[in-house]
Amino acid sequence: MNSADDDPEGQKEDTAASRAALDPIAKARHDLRNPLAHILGFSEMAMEKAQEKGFNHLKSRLEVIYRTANLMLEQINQGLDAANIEAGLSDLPALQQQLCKLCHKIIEIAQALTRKSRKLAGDMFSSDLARIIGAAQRLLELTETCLPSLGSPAAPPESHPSADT
Amino acid sequence: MVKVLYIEDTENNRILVTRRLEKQGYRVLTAELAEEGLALAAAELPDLILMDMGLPGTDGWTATRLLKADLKLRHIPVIALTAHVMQGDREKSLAAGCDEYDTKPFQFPRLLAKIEALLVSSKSRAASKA
Repeated sequence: MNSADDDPEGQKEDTAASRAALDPIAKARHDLRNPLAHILGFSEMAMEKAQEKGFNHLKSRLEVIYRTANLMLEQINQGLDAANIEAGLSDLPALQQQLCKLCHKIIEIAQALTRKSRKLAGDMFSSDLARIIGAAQRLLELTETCLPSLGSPAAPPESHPSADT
Repeated sequence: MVKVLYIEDTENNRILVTRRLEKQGYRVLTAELAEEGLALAAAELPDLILMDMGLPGTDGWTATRLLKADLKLRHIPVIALTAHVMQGDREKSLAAGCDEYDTKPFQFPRLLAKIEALLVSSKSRAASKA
């Protein structure tokens, strides 16, 4: 039997197969990072605005959102890292549970902040907070749909009678 | 005023980047799709283009190749923006003709530094040709 070094075509197939298997993971990572980027971006801008206007309590609560989103980003980067998954170091159900919990935390804080900021500052923060809530809800949906599908083994291809070509 | 064209299909990203850049004194034009972006580039001749690589329909790589194939537009520096972090994404973007590459989530100071560096080098290239 040839060794891997003597079988470049086999190596190519292995790489292609590995890459195909990893693509859903890369896609999941990509899909989850997008709404997280929005949470980070809007909370950062709202924090700057709160600082400029002297709304220190709003700023500190926005910092909690920002830190929570950063924590989620770290967890996604580690949990959906190809090498970690291949080595069996990723616990996808635990990751899903943790991300859901943190999404709910962000939504609750942002909703409470929306009420509070309206009393203090009118609509100054409403738009940014609405976008944060929207992004967190989107992230929650994605966490509930795309992570479970990564954990299930791929179904074997169905054999069909020869189709028209 | 320096004009930046941002081609991006996601509204939140357009809002975030526009607000950040406008705060820095840039004028920002936006387009949701590649075709719209290419038309706007031809009409407005921006100083720099931020290109989302994952555009629906014509993607950012194709749009960049089209830009770089156009004699009137090829001089405009393009920064590829992507949330993809697969190995090879950077090389693919540079091979398509992008001048720089950055990933989402944005670290805005990093993106801004890249924008400013490209604008400086683009200006000095234009000056040396004159």
